[in-house]
Amino acid sequence: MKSRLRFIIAIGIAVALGTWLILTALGATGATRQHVGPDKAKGPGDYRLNGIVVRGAPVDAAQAAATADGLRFTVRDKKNAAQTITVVYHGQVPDAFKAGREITVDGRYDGKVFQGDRDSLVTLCPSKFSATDENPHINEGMPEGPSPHAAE
Amino acid sequence: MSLVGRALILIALACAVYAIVAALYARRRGGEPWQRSAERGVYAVFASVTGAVIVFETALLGNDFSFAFVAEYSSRDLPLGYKLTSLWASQAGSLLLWLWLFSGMASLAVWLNRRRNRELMPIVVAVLMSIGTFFAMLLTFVTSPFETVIAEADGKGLNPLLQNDYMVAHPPTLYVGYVGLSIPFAFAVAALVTRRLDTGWIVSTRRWTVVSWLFLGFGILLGARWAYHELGWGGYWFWDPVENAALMPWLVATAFLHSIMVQERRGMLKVWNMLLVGLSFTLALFGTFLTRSGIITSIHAFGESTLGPFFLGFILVIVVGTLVLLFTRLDDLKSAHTLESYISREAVFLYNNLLLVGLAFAVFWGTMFPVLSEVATGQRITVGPPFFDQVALPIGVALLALTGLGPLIPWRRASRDRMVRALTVPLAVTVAGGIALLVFTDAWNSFWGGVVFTTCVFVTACIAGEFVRGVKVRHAAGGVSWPGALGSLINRNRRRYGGYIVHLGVVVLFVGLTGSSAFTTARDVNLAQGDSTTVAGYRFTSESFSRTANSHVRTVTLTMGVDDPSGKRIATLTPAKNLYLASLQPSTEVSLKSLPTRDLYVALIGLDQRGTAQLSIYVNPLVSWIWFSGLLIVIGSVIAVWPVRGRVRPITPARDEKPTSVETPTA
Repeated sequence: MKSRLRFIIAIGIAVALGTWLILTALGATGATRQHVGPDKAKGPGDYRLNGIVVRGAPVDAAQAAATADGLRFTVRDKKNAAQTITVVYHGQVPDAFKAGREITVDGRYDGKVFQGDRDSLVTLCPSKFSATDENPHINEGMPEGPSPHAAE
Repeated sequence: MSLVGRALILIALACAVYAIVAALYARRRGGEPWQRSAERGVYAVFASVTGAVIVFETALLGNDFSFAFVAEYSSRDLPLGYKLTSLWASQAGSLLLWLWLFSGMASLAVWLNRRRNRELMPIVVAVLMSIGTFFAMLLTFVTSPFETVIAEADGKGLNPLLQNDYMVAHPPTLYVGYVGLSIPFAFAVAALVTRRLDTGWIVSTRRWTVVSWLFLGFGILLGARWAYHELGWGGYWFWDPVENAALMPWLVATAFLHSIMVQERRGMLKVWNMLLVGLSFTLALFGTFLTRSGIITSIHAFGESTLGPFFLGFILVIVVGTLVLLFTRLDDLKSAHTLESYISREAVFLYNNLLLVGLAFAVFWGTMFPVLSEVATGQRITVGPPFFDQVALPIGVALLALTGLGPLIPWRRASRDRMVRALTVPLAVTVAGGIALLVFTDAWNSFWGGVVFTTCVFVTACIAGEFVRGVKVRHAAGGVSWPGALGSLINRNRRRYGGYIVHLGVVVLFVGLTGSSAFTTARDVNLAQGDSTTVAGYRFTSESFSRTANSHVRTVTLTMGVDDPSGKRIATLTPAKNLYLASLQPSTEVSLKSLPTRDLYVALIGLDQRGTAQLSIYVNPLVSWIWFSGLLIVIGSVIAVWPVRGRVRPITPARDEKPTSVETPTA
């Protein structure tokens, strides 16, 4: 058989199909988001927000996120602490969520508030290779039941 | 103690460097004594690193908070098992674990080859000890596990999320897979350097590859099970960069395991195999780099450490060195045969390889897209799970279909009559199975769900057909019962039938993945004491709650009754919420009832003082099939690599053959 030519054509088709698949998937709604810190989310739009939770986040974050009002907290930029953004979020809250922890959350910024998508909040695990807590006392007393006050 | 630990790592570094020099010197004529000395150097590296690990563990067990890692990751009230495994909670500790497992496997490889592959071994030792030197240098000069601090009365304690049995086993299992891939890589480099490019290096490392692949896959599965039980979001896979970092080398190693059969049987794909073995090890290193460089945002810890550039530099050295070596040996790597037909066993392996490597590339692309987009456009664009799902699904289905199709197709070429004969029964079973799924289940409520389940029927029919034909032949030979014929069949063709059992495990895995992702039912509810809710026909009732506390943790536990759709009580679930006192971090303790057809999964989000519970309730179909698939894959892999006593039957080069030839290797 004219194996080399056929082989090249077959590989070419495979690569083209693979490229098409990747481009199609990338074009899928919600597959990609601009990844920003609070200092970069200047205009309205869909973003993946990344930053540090500042003091004042509710003690009962998981329960707050399950209410109609949602969980409201402030995120600061990782490098510029003066740049902050307010986030309103509904859905699952990771156990590791608290002030001082780095988070990412997908959602839409309207110029004032960042409205997080449901169940998109991720707390970067502080476990393994670093991280110090900005406020180690924020969840104190959590199992005793909800506390309406914001910690410290 | 700290000085002892540092000294032991330094001794390991010196021994590794010595082993490289001695091994390279041993390539001269009459260099065997130097080679023996180099190999003793490898053992010395393992002994020194073992000593360092003992120092580390002694500090943990003795609550020596003058060690920075003990103060940071342990505490007096931490249970003994978690104290021991705090070794891999810190960056430096996890690197020490990497080096320890690596030096242990390198020592085992050297010992197993003390009388074999003597021409290859000097380079094997030099390559392995170069890798060991890199890690020992990191632990000596960049991030020492033996840093000291002013001792405090108690430590901060281990992250509650890591206080889980699956997380105890997950990192070392994964690391065995990572470091194990270095052995085939070292033999491949040795084969290139010495120009001994026959199948010898493949035969010598096939078991290493299978075992590394198995540990890597099992490690991934343990991580998924940890996420499922510990994180409380009802899932087990998030396409997180760290998860992807483990998946990529596993995919490429899977491709390698299949393509080496083509080289063994047909003398083809020699360059491809070299590329795959290099790529799988590089991706193992890349995974380690990814978790430590901070270049990608991940749910896992990505401390922005100083290690990234060192790893990147080492990976570049590995890639460039391998490619240069490969290009200078291209003439020696010419295939003995060419592809004769696109409908042949070797062609199926080629398709399988293209799909697996294509999938690995897509995962790489999606994982690195934030970095690549930032370089190209200045904007960091993150790729979410929908991208990975859309790419992985069609590729996964195609791979699954090939899993069934491959063994039915003979080497070299397949005639139409033979293909019709081989495929008639499996296709008939598939059509019947597809109709049964449509009529009796809701599998076709999801298009891809229906496609995957029907493909699973096809593959199962193909595999079952292989077993049935083989058992019939054995039984017809006389003197054995049907079970005896099955046992004899597997025992006499371990590699082939072990491979089929692995394939069966893959089918079960696909069933579990599809059921639990396409057909799950989730509901967030508030339940006062005595209240009930129904999810997917199951009735969940909040019955009572309790609060407990000890010096380590405060816990609130809810007791829930679960009734099946007929009203019969089938489980009592006890979801809980812990507060770990050392770190003041909450931890959701999921409670689940695992049934063969579905998991009933409850996570307690919160409980107010009147006893009203906020709950996330999931009914996840077929999740237990995922964990069961791990068992099947382990069993199949162990059968496939189990040594044969007595004479080893050589692999026969493929001629025109029957598709059910009992000598045909499959894994």
